[in-house]
Amino acid sequence: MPQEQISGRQLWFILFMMRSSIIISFFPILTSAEAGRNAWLSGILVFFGSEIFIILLNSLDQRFPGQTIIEYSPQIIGKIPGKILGLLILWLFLQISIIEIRLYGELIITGFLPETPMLFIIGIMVFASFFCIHNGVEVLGRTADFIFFIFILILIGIILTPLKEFNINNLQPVMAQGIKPVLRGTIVPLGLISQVWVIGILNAITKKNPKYKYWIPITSIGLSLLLMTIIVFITIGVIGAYEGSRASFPILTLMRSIIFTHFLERTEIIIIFGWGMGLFISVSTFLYCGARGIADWFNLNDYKFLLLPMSIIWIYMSNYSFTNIFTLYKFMSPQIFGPYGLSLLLGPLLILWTGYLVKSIYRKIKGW
Amino acid sequence: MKNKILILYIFLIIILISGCWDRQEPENRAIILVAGYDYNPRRDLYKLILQINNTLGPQNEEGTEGKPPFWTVSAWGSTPIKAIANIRKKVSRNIFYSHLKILVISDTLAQTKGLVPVMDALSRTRQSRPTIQIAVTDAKVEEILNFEHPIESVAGTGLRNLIELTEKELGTAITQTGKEVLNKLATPGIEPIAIYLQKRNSGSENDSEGDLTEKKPGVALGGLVSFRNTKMVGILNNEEAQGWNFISGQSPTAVLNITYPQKKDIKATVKTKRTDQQIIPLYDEKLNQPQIKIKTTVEGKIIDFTGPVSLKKESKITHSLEQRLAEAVRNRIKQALEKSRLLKSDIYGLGNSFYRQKNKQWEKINTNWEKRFAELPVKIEVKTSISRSGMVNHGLKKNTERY
Repeated sequence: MPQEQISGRQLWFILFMMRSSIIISFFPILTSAEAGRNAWLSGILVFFGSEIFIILLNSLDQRFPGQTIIEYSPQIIGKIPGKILGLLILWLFLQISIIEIRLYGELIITGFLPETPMLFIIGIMVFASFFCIHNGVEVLGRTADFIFFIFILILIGIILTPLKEFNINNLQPVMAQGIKPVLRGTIVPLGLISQVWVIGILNAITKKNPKYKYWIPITSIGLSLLLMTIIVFITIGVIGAYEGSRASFPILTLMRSIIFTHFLERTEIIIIFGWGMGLFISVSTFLYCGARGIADWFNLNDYKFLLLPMSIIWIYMSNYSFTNIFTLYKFMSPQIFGPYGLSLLLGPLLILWTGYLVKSIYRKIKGW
Repeated sequence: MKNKILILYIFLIIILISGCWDRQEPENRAIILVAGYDYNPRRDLYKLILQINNTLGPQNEEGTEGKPPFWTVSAWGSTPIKAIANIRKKVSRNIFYSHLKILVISDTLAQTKGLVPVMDALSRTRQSRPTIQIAVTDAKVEEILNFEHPIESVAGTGLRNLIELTEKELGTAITQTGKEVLNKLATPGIEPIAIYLQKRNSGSENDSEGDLTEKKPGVALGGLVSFRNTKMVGILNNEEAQGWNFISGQSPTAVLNITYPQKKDIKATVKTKRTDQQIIPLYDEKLNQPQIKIKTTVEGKIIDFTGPVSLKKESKITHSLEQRLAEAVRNRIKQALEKSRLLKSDIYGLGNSFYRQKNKQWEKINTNWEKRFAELPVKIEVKTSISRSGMVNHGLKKNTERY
């Protein structure tokens, strides 16, 4: 395996953008359930829930420095179960990334380029990521460095420009239907947290800086979730809960319905610009993690020759695995993606932790 | 080898970046600023009326009489979008709706079909934006669109400015964007409203108001249109629209006349500046009776006296003026409420205040809210302060005191 490294800062940026890009597009917290005007409360719950997952995953990962999750899972729970688990995680990477690419394509076609074939939009994005990763993961790190500040400026723009039209009445009443809809609203966003399995691979190539390393995933994903909650809050306040939840892409609707200082309209293209960059980071990360994971799974020395076939499979799958946007929404509904994503997140995590604890207790008894 | 690849790259860039195969030239576009919908209930057909901005260059230059600044064209269709498709046959350019500023709906459409067909098309299509102003007219939509605004080149900008300025400076009109209408359609306990465009008849010998140069009829704003269950039920006139603005606080400005204390023939004109309002829902559990308290704080400044007055220090007179202003504001609010009760249309969101703050009680009363709204006891509390009197204080009179 080639010796590659990204710095802790770059890891922070990558995780932040990867998490935020799917939030900007699909906004599962508002669109996936009937939490409606209380969706921001779901956001706060998702924040705490995901932090627990991340702490669990991260603290396990820190015990195996320099090794990817694909490498150390056979060490914990035995060779064959470990390999199966690794395969599961690789499958998850594939699935989440094709969903994200597809959503990006859908949004571009719905909002901006209705004539362009989906294949073209998806292909361009995946091939950009392919070139990036083919030049090594350092390129990904440096691109993240470069894009992050543009990305964060755009996020601040999303938060600040609609503030003038914010109407607190749209957010009341708080929890009129009780806590149930709020809890239901957390299911899909929590399932999407299963993205964070990339920590299991990225941690292995991050420069060793034990003091901060532990905090990088926690703070980065935490901040992106907090921003998501703020953006949900503002979206509901500006366009109303029902309009937000029936919108195919709430942020797009939000940015379309504001006129900033009387003359500045049509700012949504900037948002899509930012999201495209975030998505590029996200797709590249998944591409790297997928390729690196497969290489580790087969004990290969290099992963780069896997990138081209992988990209082609991704383009094919994201274009053809959903017949229309309704199948995509159905897949992302709490009834389907909720249990699916949560089991893919919690299942491997519980198995790995149990295995690890059992093993260490066993070792203590044996006196190793 | 590397250089060859680089050259290939550069060539590719030159070919790929020079233009899109799917390009849209601005000169091939028909830019729409105002559009309108009419409805024929007998045949169940929608009529789309577009006002296309004439982009054929400056008019009346170099001595040539240019073409008219806009062209109005219409088409029928079985749905609003079908009408858009049908108008395609009549316009030689690519119709571009992104700059649409005002959508005028005829009262027939608003009364029979309501807002849903048009608003759904508006929120679903890509080019239309939720920032479009929604207006209703009881004149013919074509007529409203065809009126020339003598000092504007395009009717669209003229109409929009007219609406915005009237709201801002008089409070007798309102602006209502698609975003707000959509939100009100989806929120319990509040009914949507729309801008009301009226035909201004002027130019006759007897009536010398309005357009005096060309003596043509034009557009005027006549208050606001009130809806119930997505359908238009009635119109609130200018004064009632001011009342709506006082309750909702959307536009705090209104020019109000009050009589000067002690002297009946002197009128004072007050411009209200800042208002602060609260709608407080109250619920009597024993009688099962909802009640509303509207608290309004209005700040005004005196802009005119029609006769000699003395006004400098805080005195009984200033207090009396303040009370009279409060009375005037209260009257506006009462007028507006009475009209809405008559129409059974809760356009102020009084029910919504229950929904937001007293949700449990709202569950009991929401089933027949329209009826309850018509009988709802409303307490109005108005606090006013007249904060300044313009560049001078006393009224104009002979100076008898020695200075």
